[in-house]
Amino acid sequence: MKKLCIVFRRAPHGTAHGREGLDLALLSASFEQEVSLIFMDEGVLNLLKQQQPELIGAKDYIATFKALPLYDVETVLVCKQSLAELGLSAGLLSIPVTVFNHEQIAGHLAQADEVLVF
Amino acid sequence: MILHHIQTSPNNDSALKLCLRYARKEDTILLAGNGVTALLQRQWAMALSPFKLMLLQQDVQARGLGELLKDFTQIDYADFVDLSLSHTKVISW
Repeated sequence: MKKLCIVFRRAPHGTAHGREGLDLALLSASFEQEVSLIFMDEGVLNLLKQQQPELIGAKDYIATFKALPLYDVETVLVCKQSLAELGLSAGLLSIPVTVFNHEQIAGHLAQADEVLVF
Repeated sequence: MILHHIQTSPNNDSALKLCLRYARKEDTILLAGNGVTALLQRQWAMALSPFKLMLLQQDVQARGLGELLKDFTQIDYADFVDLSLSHTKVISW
């Protein structure tokens, strides 16, 4: 059983990174891996409420973030600095998250077995 | 001890900025591909100075930056493999 940490650093919909990262997270979790997610930089925008990706013909994987608890993915971290830079707060996000500063995130990255960045 | 692998220029991707935000003093940073061009700018060279910094030789030579970046440690692919084994893990930003 591996501690797999998946980092989302790109805004949703512009590229397929967000969807691929979430697919990997759910698949790995369903194979009993200990999965944790970190949202940083514009990756935080994946978690904004009221997104309507269908308006631009993009696949709506955003709703699937709500399924994370069903897959036992409990560690969902958000970079405090990124929230501040984008003028956001945890309250605006669609799922419950834990806000970490850069030292706490560095610590989490260090203890993970593998880190994949999307 | 993490090996941070950067392959894009900070001018058009935030990989290096984010890596620097979370990297620890004992980590190593490897610039490859367009990532090597970061060192042409003083601000990035200074930001990278606290870390063990390596450049991928072929990417530097391919871009004709051998002379301009001669002060930085350059490694080849074999060294890259050794580095990835001597670190606990690699993060490709």
